Formats: sequence, C-alpha cells, structure tokens
Amino acid sequence: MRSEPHSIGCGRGDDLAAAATATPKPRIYIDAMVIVYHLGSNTASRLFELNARFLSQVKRGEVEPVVSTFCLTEAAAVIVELLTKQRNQLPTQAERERIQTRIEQFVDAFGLEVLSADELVALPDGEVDLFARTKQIVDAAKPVQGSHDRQWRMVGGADAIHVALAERAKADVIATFDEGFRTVQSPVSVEILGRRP
Amino acid sequence: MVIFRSGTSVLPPAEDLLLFEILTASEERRVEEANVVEVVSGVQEYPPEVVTISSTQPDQERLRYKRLLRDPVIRKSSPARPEAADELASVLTRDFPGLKPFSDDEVRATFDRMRKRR
Repeated sequence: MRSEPHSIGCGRGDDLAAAATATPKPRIYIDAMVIVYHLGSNTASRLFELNARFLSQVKRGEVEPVVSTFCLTEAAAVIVELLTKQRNQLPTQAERERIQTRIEQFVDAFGLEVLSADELVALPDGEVDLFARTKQIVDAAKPVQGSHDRQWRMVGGADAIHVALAERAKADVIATFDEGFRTVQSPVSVEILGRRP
Repeated sequence: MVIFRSGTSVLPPAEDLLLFEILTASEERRVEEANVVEVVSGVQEYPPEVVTISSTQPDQERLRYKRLLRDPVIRKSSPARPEAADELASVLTRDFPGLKPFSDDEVRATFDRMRKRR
C-alpha cells in the first residue's frame, strides 16, 4: 500500500475536506509542527494561515484528531530549543512548565485525543515490533525532491516512528508540514498542509 | 570449528593434542554427549557447530517478547473549544517578552535537526 501526498495549501487536492463530509470522520494524526506553528508563529504569516485552515476543520469537529505523547514531547523540545536560541539563555523550570501548560491547553482547546506512545508500541496480540515496522517503513521509502528547493529528501528515523505510531493509532491521515513524509509508503496517507513559497 | 575426538580425527597426533587443549569445558561436554548418541546409532557425525549470536545476527525467538495491552488513550478532551483555541494563537510571544514569532525556516531547521536529517 502506498500513501499519496496531498496538499491543502497548494491546490493538489483536498482529501481532508472531502473526507470530512463522509462518515465516519477521518482520524487525523497531528504532527508536532502543527502545534508549534499555532503556539509560536506570526499570526500574519502564510504558514500560520495554512495551519489555521487545517485547524479550523478540527475546531468544527469535522475530523477526529489524535496525537501521540511522542509528538507532544517533540513539540515541547522544539519550542525550548527555539526559545533558548533566540534569548541565548536557558529557560527556567517555570518557563518549561509554562510551555508544557500551553501544549496541554492546545490539546484541550482543539479536542485532541492523546495516545500513549508507550502503549502504541504493542500490537493487539501483545507482540512488540515497533522498530521492526520502522525499519520496513524506511526500507520501503522512496526519496523525493522538495517542492521549494528541489533537494532530495528521505523519511527520517523519527518520522518513521511517527508513521508506525499513526498506524497503531488507526489514523487515516498524518497531517504535517514536513515533506519528508511524502516518501512514506503506508496504509496511513499523508496530508502536506503547506509548502514553502 | 575443528573438534578433536579419539579415533575420528584426520589430523596428525601433535595437532590433535593442541586442539584438544583449546577446547572449552562446555564444548567438551557437548562432544561427550554427542558421542553417546553416536555409539547407540553408530553414525559418525560431528555435533552441530556452535554459532555465536551477534548484533548483526539476532535470534528473533530470543528477542521477541510480549507486552500487556492497556488502553492507549490517556487524555480525551473533545469537543474542541474554538474560543480557547483562538486565544492560543502565537501565545508564546506573549508569554515570553522579547520572543520573536517563530519563522518557518527556524521551525523546519529545528525539526530537521531533531529528526536527524542534517
């Protein structure tokens, strides 16, 4: 099975919107970038707008949004790194807790279902093969060229873990801005929410 | 692996002795057990060669284990609360004075680095 990349922002199809009119609601695995863009990017930027367009479907309850604890950890780590680099100083424990609170508020405000990545590693029969599946995903991936810079991209190790977790979460779609996911072949399709101009 | 056994070696006697000395105790036991079988059956066969398990040659049976299944859902807060969602837009720039909104490039670069693509 092969996932087909889609795009809301680039006019190459809008399967999320189409799927939203059907029942049951599409189950969407949300990438950490979606959280980071909403909490920290400029509301006037194009990326924020594209992200908001996707999130408006979530707010309207047209999709069934899920996120893994692995995603939330990534989002927090990226925000901490960006904050540290911009200010050139380590965030205090209180500031890290503030970031964590904001992420939890995001989860509640958008009505996300949070899935424990630790629980998703096991199959229904109790077998644990998450990293074997991750290897299959990497082995089957085909490099693609980025839409803005024509650089070749390949699915990364952490990306492949997200795909495996999305499969275990019974997601229909992974919503992301990361074009590296375009290389993935999985029962879970990939929705590229926006590309660089 | 070459194993010394009385009466079955094709090597000269001096080399037999040397090889006998480097056998481990466990290998000696294995040879003795195999010889018992051979006496009964009368078949001249060497015992199976010991294969060392390495990281590049994992034993799938040994690596497999099972995990007790639990409900993976640890938080479910639907339905969404649109007002609260809108209030969170770019909230970090208000939480942390002086913080500039994250640019697309810096967000992507940070994710790329974190996901080890660079």
